[in-house]
Amino acid sequence: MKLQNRLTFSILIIAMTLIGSGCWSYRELETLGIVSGAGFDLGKDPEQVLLTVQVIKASKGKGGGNGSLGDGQGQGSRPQPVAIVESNGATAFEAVRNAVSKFSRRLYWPHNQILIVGKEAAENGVKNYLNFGIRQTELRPTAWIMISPGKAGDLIRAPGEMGQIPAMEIKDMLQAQSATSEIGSFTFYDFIERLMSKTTAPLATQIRLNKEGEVELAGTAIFKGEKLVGFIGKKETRGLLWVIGKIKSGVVIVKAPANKGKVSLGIIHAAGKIQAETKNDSVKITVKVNVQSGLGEQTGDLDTSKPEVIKSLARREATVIRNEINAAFKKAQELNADIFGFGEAVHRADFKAWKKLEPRWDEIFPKLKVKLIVKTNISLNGLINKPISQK
Amino acid sequence: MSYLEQGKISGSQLVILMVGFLLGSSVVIFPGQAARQDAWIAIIIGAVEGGIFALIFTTLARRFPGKTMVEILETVFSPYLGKLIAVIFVWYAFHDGSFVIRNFTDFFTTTVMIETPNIVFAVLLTIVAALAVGNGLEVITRCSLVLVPLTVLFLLVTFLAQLSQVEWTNFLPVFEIPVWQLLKISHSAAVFPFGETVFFLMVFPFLNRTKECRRKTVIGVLLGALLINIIAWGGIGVLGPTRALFTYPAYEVVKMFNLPFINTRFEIIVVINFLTMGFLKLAVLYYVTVLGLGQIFHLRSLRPLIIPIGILMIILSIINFSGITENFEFNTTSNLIYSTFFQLVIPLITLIVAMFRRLPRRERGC
Amino acid sequence: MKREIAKVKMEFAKEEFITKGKDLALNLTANLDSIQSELNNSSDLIIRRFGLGGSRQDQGAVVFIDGLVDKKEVEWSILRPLMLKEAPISDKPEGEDRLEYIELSLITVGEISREHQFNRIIAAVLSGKTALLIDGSGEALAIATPGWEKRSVNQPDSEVIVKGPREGFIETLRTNTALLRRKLGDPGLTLEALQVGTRTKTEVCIAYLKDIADPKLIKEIKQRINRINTDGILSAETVEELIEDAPLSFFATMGYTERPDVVSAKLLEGRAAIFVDGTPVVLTAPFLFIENFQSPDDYTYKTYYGSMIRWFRYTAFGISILLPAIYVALTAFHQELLPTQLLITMAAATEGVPFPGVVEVLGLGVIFEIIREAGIRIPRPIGQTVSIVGALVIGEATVTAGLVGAPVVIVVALTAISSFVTPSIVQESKIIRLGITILAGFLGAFGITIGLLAILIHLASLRSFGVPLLSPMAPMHLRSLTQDVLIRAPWWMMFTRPKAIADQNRTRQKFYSRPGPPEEGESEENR
Repeated sequence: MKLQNRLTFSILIIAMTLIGSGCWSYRELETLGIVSGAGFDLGKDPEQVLLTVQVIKASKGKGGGNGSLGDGQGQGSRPQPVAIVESNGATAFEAVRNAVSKFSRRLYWPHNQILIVGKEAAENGVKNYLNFGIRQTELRPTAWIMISPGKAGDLIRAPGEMGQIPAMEIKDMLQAQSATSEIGSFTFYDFIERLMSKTTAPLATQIRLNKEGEVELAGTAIFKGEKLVGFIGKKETRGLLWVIGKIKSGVVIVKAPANKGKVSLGIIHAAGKIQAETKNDSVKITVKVNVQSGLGEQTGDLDTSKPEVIKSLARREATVIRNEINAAFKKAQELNADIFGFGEAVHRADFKAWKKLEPRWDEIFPKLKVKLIVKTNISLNGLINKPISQK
Repeated sequence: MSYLEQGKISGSQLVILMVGFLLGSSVVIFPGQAARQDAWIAIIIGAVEGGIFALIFTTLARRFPGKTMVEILETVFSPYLGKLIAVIFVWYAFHDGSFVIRNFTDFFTTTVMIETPNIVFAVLLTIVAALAVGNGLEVITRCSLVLVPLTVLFLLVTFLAQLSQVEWTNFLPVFEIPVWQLLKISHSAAVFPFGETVFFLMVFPFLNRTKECRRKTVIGVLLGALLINIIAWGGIGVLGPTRALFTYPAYEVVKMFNLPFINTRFEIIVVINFLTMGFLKLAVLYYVTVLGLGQIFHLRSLRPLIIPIGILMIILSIINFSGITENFEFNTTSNLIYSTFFQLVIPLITLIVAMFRRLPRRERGC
Repeated sequence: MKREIAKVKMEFAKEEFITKGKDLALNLTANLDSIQSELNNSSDLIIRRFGLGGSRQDQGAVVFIDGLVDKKEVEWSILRPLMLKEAPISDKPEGEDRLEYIELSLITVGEISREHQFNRIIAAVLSGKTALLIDGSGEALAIATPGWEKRSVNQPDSEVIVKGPREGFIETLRTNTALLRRKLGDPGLTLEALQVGTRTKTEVCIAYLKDIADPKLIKEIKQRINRINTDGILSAETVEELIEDAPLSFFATMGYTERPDVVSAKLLEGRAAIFVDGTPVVLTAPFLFIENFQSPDDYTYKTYYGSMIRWFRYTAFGISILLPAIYVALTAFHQELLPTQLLITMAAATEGVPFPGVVEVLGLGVIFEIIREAGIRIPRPIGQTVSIVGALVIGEATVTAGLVGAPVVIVVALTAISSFVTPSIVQESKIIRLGITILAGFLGAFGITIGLLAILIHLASLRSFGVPLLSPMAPMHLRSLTQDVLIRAPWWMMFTRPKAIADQNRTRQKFYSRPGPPEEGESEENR
C-alpha cells in the first residue's frame, strides 16, 4: 500500500482499539469512596458478616485557598471528615459488594489503615476476612489488624480526638506505642505469616472503647489458628515483645536498693533471640534478651554515680524484665498458644526432628521449659551525675 | 544469506540484551519458587545447568560462524529435514512468545488494572514489539541498552530498600527439601528462563566477532542469574513462608515497603520493570520467529510477516490456557520436558551430527 | 496529479536551458539591453556608461543594483581608475587583453573574477557585485563591492547564556564565516560553497575541520545539498527539511544554533556546519539526541554545577513530557500510589469539577498554548497586560469557579515552564506530551510506558548522517557517556572526541592534564 494509506490505516486501527472499546479502569476520584478503616462483626445470624466501613469525606473547603465565593456550603464549625457505611453479606466479599446498595460510591481499599474484628467474629474464625484481604489486590497487607472485645463497628464509628480521620488517628496511636512498647502492632501480613505456621500463634492488637468512650489500645489478642482464644494485658505484651525483639523504646521502673525510692530506666536498645536445641525428641529452648538502657529519672536520692549502684540497678532491671517475660510465657502456656514462635525456632534448627515434633506441639508446648538469659546494661546517665538533693 | 538483517551488534551489547531477555518475565515470577526458602539455591543450580546448555549450543554456533540456527540446520541435515526441524524450532520461539504475552496480560489484569480486558494489553504490547522488530536487530539492541541499565538500577534500589525488612531467619533452614525435589525445581529454573537463551542462536551470526558468543553468553547467564537471585533474596527474606501464597512475590515485596519518610507506594516500579523487560523478551522472540520463517522460506523481506505473526501470537496466548492456574501447572510440569527438548536435545543432536559429518567443510581457496 | 508533476518538471527543464550557456555579445549596447530586459527594467538596476580614459569611443559600463553595493567603493576603485583622463587605459589594445589588463592593474578591489556567460553576470549583479563591461569584449568583470544593510553582531535572543561570549550570527554569510574563523584559527578549517534554490540562488557553505571530520560525512552532505531542486530556499530550516534523514519523524536529526562558539565547539568534535546566506541559523550534522540538552552555559561553569544543571535539564524534559500524563494516571487509575494525605487533598480539590481529569489537563494545555502563541505576536505595549490577564483570569478564575481543579493548573504551568528549559526540543516534546497524555487517559501507567517505549524504539531507529541518534547511550560508548552525558566532565578529562562522530582523530589533548602544583624537580620557572 502507499505510505499514506498505510499510515492512515494504522492510526485508525490503533485509535479504534483504544477508543472503540472504552476506558475500563478509568476511575474519577469522585466516584471513589476511600476507605480508611474497616471492621468485621458477625451479622444477625452467625453465618452473616457485618461490615462497618469508615469512608473519607474530602471537603472542598480544604483545598481552595481563595475560594470564598465558591464555597457556599458552610458546613458548620466542625465538619465530619468521614462517613460510616454498614452492610451485610454471607461472606466478607459479598458484604463489600453489598455496600453499594447504601452508598453512592465504590469502596476503594488501598488506603485502608486498620482492620478491626469484633470478639465474636474472631472467636468464630477470621479466615474468611483474611482470604478476602489477601486475594484482593486492593487491600494492602500493611494494614494494622486489631481485635475488639466488643463490636468492631463501635470502634469504627468512634470519632477522632483531633478532628482528623479516626482511622488515621488510630494508626498514629499505634505507631506512637513504640514509646512505651507495651502494645504490639501487627500488620495484616504479620498475622497471616504466623497463621501459616502450624504452631505459631497469630497475634493482633487489642483495641476497645473505655468507660469514657475514648478509643484505647489495651494489650494483645491471641489466636490459635484462626480463632481467638484470649487476651493478654500490657505487662505480658511487653514480656512477649522482649522475646520477639520488637521493643523500640520504653520505661522500666525499678525499685532502688536500700529503699531509696524508684528509678526509671529508659530503654535504648533491646534485642531478643530464640535458640532451640533438640536432643532425642526433647526440646530445649534458650531465650536471650539483651537490653541497653539509660537512667531516666528517680524518686528518692540514690547516689547514681557509683558503679556498684549502677550494676545493682541493672540486675534489678533484669529481674523486672524476667518477670514480664515469665508472665507472658505463663499466659501463653495456659492458652496453649505458641506466641513466641518457639516451634519455628526448632524447625529452623533441626528440620528433621521437627517433622516428628510438629504434630505433637500442642502437647509439648504447655510443658516446655525455657532457659531465660537476660543481659542488661545501663550505659547512659542523663545529664546529671548525682541526684538533686540537699546535703 | 544475511540480507534479511544488515545490522551488527557488539559483544557487550549482546550481554545486555541477553540479561534483559533473561529478566523478562522473571522480574515478577522468579523461578524456583517451589523450593521455598531454598529457591536461591535452585536458581544457582538452574543457572549452572542453563550454562551447560549454553556451552553446547554456543559450540554449535562457533562451528558455523555467520549462520543462524535455521541455516545451520539446513546445512547439517539435508535441506528438507533441516527445514522441518527449523520449523519446529521456530514454532518453539513462537510459542514462547505467546507465553510472554500471556504472562503479561495475566499479571496486569490481576494486579494493576483489573477491569481492562486482556486483549488490550496483548495488542498494545505486541504492536510495540512489532515496531521494534520491524526496525531490525540493531534497534532492539539499542533499546535494551537504555532499558536494561534502568531496570537494573531499579532492582538494586528496591533491593536496598528491602534490606531493612528482611528477616534473615527466613532463609533457614537451608536444604530442607529433599535433594531430588530440589534438582527437579532447579531444572525448571534452568528451563525458564536460562535455557531460553538457545534462541540467541539466531542472533549470534550478527555479532561483530562470532567467536565471542560463548564467553558472552556465559557472562550473560551469570549476570542474569545474579540479578534474578537478588530478586529472589528479597522475596524470600521479606516474605518468608507466605511467599508460597502469592502469585507474584516480587510485586508483594515492594508493596510491603515501609520507608519512614517516603510514604509513596513503589510497586509501580515492579510493573514498569516487567513492562520493559517483557517487551524486550517478546521483541527478541518475535524477531527470532520472523527471521527464522524468513530464512526457511527464503523470503526477500521480513515486513509482510510481522503483522500476521503478531496477530497469531496474540491469539495463541489467549487460547493456550483457560486460566492462570493452567499456566502455572504447565510451567511446573509439562514445560520441563517440552522445553528441554528444544533447548538441549535439538542443539545437541545437531552438534553430534555435525561433528559426525565433519561439517563445516573447510573450503580452500576462493 | 501525475500530469501536473510532469508539467512542473518540463518547466524546470526549460528554465535551465534558457539560463544556461548564453555568452555575452561583443557589443556593449547589446549586452546592456539584454541585461535590462532580463531584469525587467527594474528600477534599482543602475547602468553607468562611461568612457575609458576619458575617450568618447571606448566605452564601458558598470552595472549594479542600488542598495546592494557600496557606491563609494564603486566610484573610487572602479570608475575613478578607468574614467580619469590620466588613466593609462588608452594605450592598451582592445579586446580581451584589455579586460585582463584592467583586471590585473587598474581595479583596486580585492575580489574580482572574469565571466563570459550571460547568466553568471546576471547572478553576480543580483548578489551584490558590480559588473564591468567593455565595448568589444565578450567578457565582463564581476567585482565584489558589497555594501548592503546588515544587523550588528549581537547575542541571539533564543540562545541566551549568562556567562560567556555574546556574539551571534547575522544574516550575511560572509560575516558569519568570519565569526567562525575568528574562533578557529586552524588552517584545516575548510569552507565549501554551494548554491541552492533556482530562484533565490542562495549561497550555502559547508564548514568542517579537514583532519577531524569524516570525509564520507562531507561527501554525503554535499550530495544531499546538490540534490536540492526547488525554487526557493529562504532559510536554513528549509535546507534542513530537504536534506535530513528522517523527514517523516517529528524528531530533528540536525542541530541548529546561532552562536559561533557553539559551532566551533561542534566542529572540533568532528561535525560539519552548514551556513545558509540570509539566515543567522547554522545547521550542524551529525546530530545526537543528547545535544538537545547541552548548552554552552554548562561549559562556563565548573564541572559540579555544570553536571547538576545537565541533570536538571533531563529532569525538566522528563517533566515536560510526562507530568500531565502522570497526573492523569495517578488520579484516575492508580490512586493507590499516592500517599493517603495527598489523595485526600486531591480529592478535595477536584470535588465538584465537571470535567474528567484528562479533559482538564488537555483543555488547560491548549489554553496555555493559545496564550503563548498570542504572547509572541502581541505588540509590546499591551504584551504585559495580556499575559497578566491571561494568567489571572484563566488560572485563578477557573479554579474559583470550579471549572478546573487547582492541581491541574499547577501541573500545566509546571509542564509549560519545564518545556522551555530545553528549547531545541520544544516542538517534539509538545507532540509527545499530547500523545502520552491521551494514552495515559486510556490506560494509566501502562499507557505511559507503552508510549515511552514506542518513542524509544523510534529514536533508536533514527540515524543522523550515518550516526545513530541515541549515541553515546546506544550504541554505548562509555567514555563519551561519562564525559558529556552523565556528567559534564572537567576539560582536562575530556581528552577524546565522541567516538560516534570522529572516529579517526580522537585525541584532543594530553591525557589527564589536570592543573596542579608543579611536580618534584620542576622549578616554578619551567612551567
